[in-house]
Parts: sequence; C-alpha cells; structure tokens
Amino acid sequence: MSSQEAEKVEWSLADIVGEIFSIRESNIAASIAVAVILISGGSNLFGWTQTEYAQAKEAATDDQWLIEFNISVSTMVKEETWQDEEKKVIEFYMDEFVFPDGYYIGAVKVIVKPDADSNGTTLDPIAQCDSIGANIRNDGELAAQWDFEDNVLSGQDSSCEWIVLSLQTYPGYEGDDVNSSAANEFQALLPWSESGWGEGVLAVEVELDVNTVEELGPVTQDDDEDITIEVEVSGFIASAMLIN
Amino acid sequence: MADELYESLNELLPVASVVHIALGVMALVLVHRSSDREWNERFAGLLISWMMVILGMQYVFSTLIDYRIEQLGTGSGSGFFTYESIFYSWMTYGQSALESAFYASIAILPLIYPYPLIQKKNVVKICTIFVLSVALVLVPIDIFTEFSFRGVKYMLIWSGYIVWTPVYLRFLFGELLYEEEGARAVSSVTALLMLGAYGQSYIFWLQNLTGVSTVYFGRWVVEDFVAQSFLSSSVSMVQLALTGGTFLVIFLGESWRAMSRGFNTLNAVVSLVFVVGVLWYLLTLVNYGDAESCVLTACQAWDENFVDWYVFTFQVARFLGVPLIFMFILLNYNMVDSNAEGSKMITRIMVLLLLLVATSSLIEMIQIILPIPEMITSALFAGGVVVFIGWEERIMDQIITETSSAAESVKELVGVADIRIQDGEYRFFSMAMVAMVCYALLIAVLFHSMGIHS
Repeated sequence: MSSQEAEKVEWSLADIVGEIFSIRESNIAASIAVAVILISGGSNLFGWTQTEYAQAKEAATDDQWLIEFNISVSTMVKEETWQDEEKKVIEFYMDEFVFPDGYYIGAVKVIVKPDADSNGTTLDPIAQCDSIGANIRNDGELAAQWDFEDNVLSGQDSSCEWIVLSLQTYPGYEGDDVNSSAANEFQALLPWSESGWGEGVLAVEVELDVNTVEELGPVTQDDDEDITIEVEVSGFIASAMLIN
Repeated sequence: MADELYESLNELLPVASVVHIALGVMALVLVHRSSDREWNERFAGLLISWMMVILGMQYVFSTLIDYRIEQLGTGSGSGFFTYESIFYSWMTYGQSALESAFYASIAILPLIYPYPLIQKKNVVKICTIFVLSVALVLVPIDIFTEFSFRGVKYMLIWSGYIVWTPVYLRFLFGELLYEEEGARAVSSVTALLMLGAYGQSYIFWLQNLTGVSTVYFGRWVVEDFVAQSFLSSSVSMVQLALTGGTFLVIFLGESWRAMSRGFNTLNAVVSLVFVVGVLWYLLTLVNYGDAESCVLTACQAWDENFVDWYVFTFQVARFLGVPLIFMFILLNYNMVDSNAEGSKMITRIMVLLLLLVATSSLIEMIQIILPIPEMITSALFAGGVVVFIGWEERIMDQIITETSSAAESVKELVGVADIRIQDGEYRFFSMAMVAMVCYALLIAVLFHSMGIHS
C-alpha cells in the first residue's frame, strides 16, 4: 500500500476487503476455519432440523391419554367376639396383602359383618340386632388420603346390615379409568407410579352395644357378638393409551 | 437447597448493572474528551461506552425480573405474581427491548474497529441510521413474537465473527510471517474484542463445535415459557459452530504466537477459556441424562455442583469478564485520552471500581461453594483493597504510558482513508443512542399498559 493510496479520502469496499485477504497464508487459515465451521454448523443444523427439534417439540406438546387401571384385589378376614359395650381395635398389616410386582395400593374397603344369627334364631327367636359402630382410625400409621371427601371412615348400624367403610390410599385413585394430558407416556403415567401409598398398618375400631330383651328371652342371655371384619385392598397398575 | 442455589445464580446481576452503567457513563465522558484520537478509535470508544450503559440498563430489568420470580405465587389480586404475569410485563419487555438495542449497536462495531470496513466521510451518519433503523424494527417485533426469534436477533452479532476473524488472522500472520511492525496491536485488540463480545459463549466452544450443546436447546424447547421457533433454533445451530470455530482460530493463533514470541496475558486468558470449554464439554456429558430428560421422560433438576459451576463460569464471564475486557480495550488501546484534563481522575476511578467490584464479586462467588465465614471474606476483601490501592498508581501508569493504538497500526500497515469527523456527529450519535433507549423503554411500558399479550 503506497502512501498516496493511504491518503485517499474514500476507499471502495473491494479495496478494503482486499486488504484483509492480502496475505495468502492467512487466507488458507481462514479457509480451514470456514471449512470447520461449515462442517460443524452443517452437522448441528442437520441433527437439529431432522430429529432433535421434532423430538423436543413432541415432548413439549401435551397429548390426551386414557389411563387404564388393571386392578387386583387382596382380601383378609378377621373374626372376633365382642362383649357388650366393648371397643376393640383390629390391626391389619398392609404388607400382608399380596399383589403382583409393580402394583400400587389404591384403596381400602372395610366390611364389618355382624353375626348372621343375631337377628333371631330358633333358640332365641326374638333376639334383637346389636348396635355396632366401626371406624377406620387415622393414627398416622397408614399412608393414605385421609382428607379425601368421598372416604367413608366411620359407620354405625343396629339392623344387622354390613357396615362398609372405604379409604382412598393412592392420590386420585377411584378405580375408574381417567383422562390425562401429558407430553408422553412416561409423563402420563408419572402420577400413577408413586410408591409408598397404602403402606403401614390399617386400624379398624369396632364398638359393640348389645340389644337384648331380658324378660322375654327364653334360653340365653345375649351379651356378646361375633363380628367379622373383612378388608379388601385394591391394588392397581396403570397403563396409558393415546387418545389423539 | 435448590432454591438457595437458584438464588445464587443471579447474585451478580445487581452488581453487574451498577458496574456497567457506572463504567459506561465514565467512559462516555472520557471519549468525549478525547478529541485527538483517530475517528474510528473515538467512534468505537463511544459505541463501547453506550453498549456498557445499555447492558447495565438491561441488567436492571433482569434484576427486577429475578426479584419478582423470587416472589412467585405471592401477592394478592392484581399484584399476584405468576410466571405468566412476569413474562408478559414491562420488565421482560424492557429487558428484551434493551437487548435488541444492544445487538443493534454491537453489530456495527466490527465494521469500524480495528480495521474500518466503512471508510466514508459520512460513516457516523450511516452507522447511526443503521442502529436506529434496526432498533426501530427489532424492538417491537421481538415483543410481538414473544421473544421466540432470539436466534434470528442474535444474527446481528455475526458481523463480529465474519469480520474480526479474518482481520485477526491477517494481522497475526502479518506479524509472525512478515514481521509487520504494529500488527500485534491489531491482532490482540481483535482477539480481545471477540473475547469481550462472545466470551460468555466461548466458554462452551468445544460442546458448540461438536454439537453436544444441542441437548440444551432441546431442553429449552420443553422448558421455556414460549419456546424458540424452528427458524430461530435452527439459526442458533449455525451460531454454535461460529462460536466454536472462531474461538479455535483465536486459541490456535495465540498458541502459535506464544511459541515464537513468548507467553503473555492474552495467551493466559485464551488458555483459561480453552480449559473451561473442555471442562464444560465433559460436564455436559456427565449431566447429559439430566439435560435430555425433558425430551425423553420428565425434566430432572440440575445437579447442585453443576449449577455452581455454571455460576462460576458463565455468570462471571458475562457479568465481570465483559466489562473488564471492554474497559481494558478502551484504556489500553488508546481509545480515550486518559492524560487529558480531568480524565486522569475518572480513569483512576474506573480502574479501582473494576478491580474492587471484580474482587468482591469473586469472593461472593467463592462463598457459594465454600462455607467461609464472613469475617474471613471481609478480611480478604480489605486485603484486596489495600493491594489495589498500593498497585493503583502502577496500574495507572501502565495503562497511560504503555498504550498501543490499533488504529495507528492499521493506518501505517495497510492504509485507511483520511476521514475527518466533526464533534457534532459524535454528539448526534450519542443523541441517537439516547433516543433509541427512550424508544425501547417507551415501547416496553406502552405495550405492557395496553396488554398486547393479554
């Protein structure tokens, strides 16, 4: 570059760019850099536009899923005799209910069954039904949805009917299939794969109040009652089916 | 623990906003007093000063957003803070508008410094019109599109990759092969400008070059409130390669120079970034499962130590590295006349402010991972202050006396057009920048008050 040229008032863009690329070795290095950038950029762009973007977009878009529950019920029965005005707590250890691998405990159903003969027999035809009160105790020993509004935690009967109590253990589980909005199958099933719910000890408190007709009873004095407590535990495993 | 960690992510933001604004304003004063500098030195100084001020204002909005995010789920009535209410607010609009203004400004820096591609008498006018036009269009469009075209917006800084890389190589080869005297001033300032403009991206150079970084883009598509568009994210893929490729050029160039001319501070900085980039690549591989969890299954939280590493590298590079490098360029490459009347004191304040803020911020960062009692960190900071005050005169002398002018070197080596720019044109540019900032802020406030996204 001569000094006369340097004193020019204005230069054309071609002159200016030409100065930047005036050294051959520098141009070779720049060409190699451009090649590296093109290869790297092309590779990044190809991977992103062909697969990665679509995958990410798919993961970001919620689909509708039908969550179906495959249910297995495990039952345990305990039969004991209550004296008049006796209150007893019967405990059921939840790990004694057997389920296939991968099942979660969804709900517990407790059926308190009075003695079938308590409403009069040939020996004591005018015997009356006893009054039975039952409730599922929340003493912190069982991980369950104690605040679920459809729970039936206590019941009473004096007409020899069964008392049926229920407790939801798994959050949101009501036994019926549900619709869910999630990006993929994993995320759709995520709410249905929390372990720990339904673990612990189920305590059922039963109180008996014998109703008897003392003056007319011919043979026996009715002051006790055989009560059967049946516990049905519903276990489930969820599967997701894409709706749309 | 996780909450504490995410708080620590942004501890530097308030400090960064104050530092950027203070340094920018002081630099503006210095640049306006440096009337005897080459036109492109003075114009570049002016531009860098305004970039610092705009960045600082942008960080003010980022700080406010962070503060609101901490209050998520609190408040009542119309003041109840949800992520949506923050995303579509004057804070995010303001932050984004100033970011657009910053990109419009930085786009012209490679065209004028160190080697001016625009050598016309009306260069300042051309650049002013360009910056204003770009900002005028970009600010509202960015908000209209809910910031989903950031990758396209970032294309404005590609001018640096495209111009500075060949300029760096030209003058590096000129010095090393053809013994061109003064060429080092140009190549070193070009490398520093690239480190200043892209330093926070360069620390990811290896994962960007190999394409490993794309895993983060996949996660962001899932996680972001409004995901980047296909076009935007695709453009970002090319930018990843540009980042990795251009850093490799600087690293190899500086290593080659170190072998023939000896090791210097710039080599140390570039080598540090190189090592950090390799570590980032390895740590991304280690955390690859967490990174891609969003796409494959469900988003997993980042490892705590990985978050600390991010704070230490990216945030420090962005909030401390950028002002340090740009101020060093301003002071060391003769852009400002630090000997002018009254300028010496401002320069002295700038140097001390930079050093003290950097020290205190780094000590703060160390406290995140090491449970050092405050008594000890205070003592360390006091020690730092004493050392800097002791060294201040020496540092100042070095800055004032050992400056090198890249513009002079370019003039001598390849020649540039003899252009005279009137002081009024620089003032016009500054007025245009003020107008651009006001426009950006006004748009943010008006768009929010009119509820364009509600």
